[in-house]
Amino acid sequence: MSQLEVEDLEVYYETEDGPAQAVDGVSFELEQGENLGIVGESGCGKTTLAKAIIGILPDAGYINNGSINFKGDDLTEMPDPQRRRLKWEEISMIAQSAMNSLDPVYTIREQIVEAIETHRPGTGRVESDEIVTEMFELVGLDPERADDYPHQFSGGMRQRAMIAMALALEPSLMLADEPTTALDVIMQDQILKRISSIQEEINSSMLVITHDVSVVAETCDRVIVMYAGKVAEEGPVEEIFDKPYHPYTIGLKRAFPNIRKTNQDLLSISGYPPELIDPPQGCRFAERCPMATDRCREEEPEAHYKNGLRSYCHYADEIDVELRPYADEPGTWNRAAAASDGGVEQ
Amino acid sequence: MSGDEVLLEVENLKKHFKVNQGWIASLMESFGGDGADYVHAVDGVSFELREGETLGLAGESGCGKTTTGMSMVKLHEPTDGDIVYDDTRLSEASDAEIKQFRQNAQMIFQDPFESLNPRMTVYDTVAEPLRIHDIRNETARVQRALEFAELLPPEQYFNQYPHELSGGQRQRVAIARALVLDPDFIVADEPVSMLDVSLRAGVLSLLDRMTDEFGLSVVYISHDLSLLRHMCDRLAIMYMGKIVEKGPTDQVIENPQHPYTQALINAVPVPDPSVGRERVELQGEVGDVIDVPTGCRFKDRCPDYIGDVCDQVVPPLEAKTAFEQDVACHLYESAEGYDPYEELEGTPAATEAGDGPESTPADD
Repeated sequence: MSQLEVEDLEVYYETEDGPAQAVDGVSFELEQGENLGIVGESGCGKTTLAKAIIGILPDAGYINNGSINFKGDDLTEMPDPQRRRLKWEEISMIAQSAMNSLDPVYTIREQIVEAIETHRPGTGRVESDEIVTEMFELVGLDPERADDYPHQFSGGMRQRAMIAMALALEPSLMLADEPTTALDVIMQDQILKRISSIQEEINSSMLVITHDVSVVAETCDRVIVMYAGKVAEEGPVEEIFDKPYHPYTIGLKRAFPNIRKTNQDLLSISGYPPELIDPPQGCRFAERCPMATDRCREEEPEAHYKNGLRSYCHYADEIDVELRPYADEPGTWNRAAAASDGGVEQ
Repeated sequence: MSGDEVLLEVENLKKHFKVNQGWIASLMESFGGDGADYVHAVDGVSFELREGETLGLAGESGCGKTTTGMSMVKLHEPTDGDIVYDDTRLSEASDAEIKQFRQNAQMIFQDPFESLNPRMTVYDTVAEPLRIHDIRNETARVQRALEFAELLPPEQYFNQYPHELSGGQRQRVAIARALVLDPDFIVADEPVSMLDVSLRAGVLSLLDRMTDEFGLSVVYISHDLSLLRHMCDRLAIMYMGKIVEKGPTDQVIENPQHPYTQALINAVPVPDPSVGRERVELQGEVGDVIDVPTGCRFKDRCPDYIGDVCDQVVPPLEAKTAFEQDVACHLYESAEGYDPYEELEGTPAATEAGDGPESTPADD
């Protein structure tokens, strides 16, 4: 049994115009000790997915269907008190603007100690202080500064303090939502390195949510590419980067400049993701896909399994045989961009 | 593509900001207390921008790259140093010359959600610079600028307000506004960092076309070295208000020489899982820019620290004998014959001078 099994999960947000289907039928598994990356554009549902797993959806959000099995228990049916206990202790989250999620009126130490004492009643102050010191050292902060208030820390330091807090209870699953996006490269590199060494030590698994495919390439074992609330493609990181089958993955991969390469032709995916209140039938990427046919616009693609990848594209087989060079060519996408910018269709 | 004609020269530019101490402290100060503290945001930066070239200014937050960029278009008054444009020193320029300069120097800001006036339509936003500079043919020019920015058809956007546009479209409006005066150069400060990944390439290729078709010089300011590598002919790497390395982009990225540049480039993740990356950990954090350290500013974190000379002598940015780019580091031998040890206190100049003749620049 996997540590985490998400099955056919639907998370909707209540809006005046009806429910927005932010996460729409997502299934995946995560093994103990594994790192899974979730990539996609803003609004593809990746953060909502993490929030649903840890149970901090905003009031308007609700789980419409599906299950989240964590170590054999369905979190969607778990009573609140029990679920709260899991939070931080078993599942912790490093939020996107974590540096702003510290409470300004308490010192960093007080906040970490509070988390420890809430979840492990009976932990003495001395022991809690030891954990704080240890965690501060792990993330590269001076333990003497634990008695500072958040405003006395720089952004990078606050982010590291948040990571220290997320690790304090040695959770078995960490949800990292753009954990280093707000940081400079050198700091990002150090923090990612620290997180993975801590992870190895406590054998925890991690869900890394990011738009940055290079972070995923370096930290994850497997990747899920999400588009408009659905899984577009999933598989081991090497295969996804080497030979993806979904045109969206191909596009996304080619949209990023690589510091190791000269004269790269970057590719831009024209248009915008569809409305999630009344999503199009058929493939959700069809409108922006330069290879889309009528079938794509009408019929929702089934999963294709090949080379360890799960790809939701009708033409996954053809991509492999003949369409890949075409899809890999920026001109293909730029022509599509020019056509749609001309305002021919909405 | 880039000619060798120099368009603009930045000469030993410094920009210091007074630290806001609150009124009691400033009152004390006015009674003859200690002098005020200053943040040395930019602290002696020199470089030239050539005609038609794209120059990247890179570095971590707080290294002074944005302040340098804003000084280049005269949004900041330099504390010291000067900018020479069209044989005119801006510090001595007449009002008419400054106005002429402002017309030729434009800026694109990072956040198109903040940089456009929410109460102005797209048309007014783009037309405003024309009105300020009294240029006729307004409608035709606005139309052309929007067309160039791929906001098609332009008329459709005339009466729209920024909130009706997406992030990518807003940044295109900002680009149109910068281009409408037909400037000589543009400073683009993190032009795509607020945009979604799938849209970045589109805006980048627009900026690319801008250099190709108008022969504009562009200064890109970014922390993203992968992006700068993609966009720029030359790169300057900044650290704590100074340029530590400067040269052709491929040289700097593939063969970095300054220990800081090496660490910075090493830290950039690679979007290819099959590439193993050597990860060197840099000690400590960026130093204090108020009470600036003596000697090299990178010395406390430097893995190649070589002692007193790093502590006491500020390494000048200069050509070196061993490679193409300019580097500010004592590790390498100066191509100009400069010897930092002569400046080092307590070192008998004689012994150093004795080394001199043997190590005269060797060409290789």
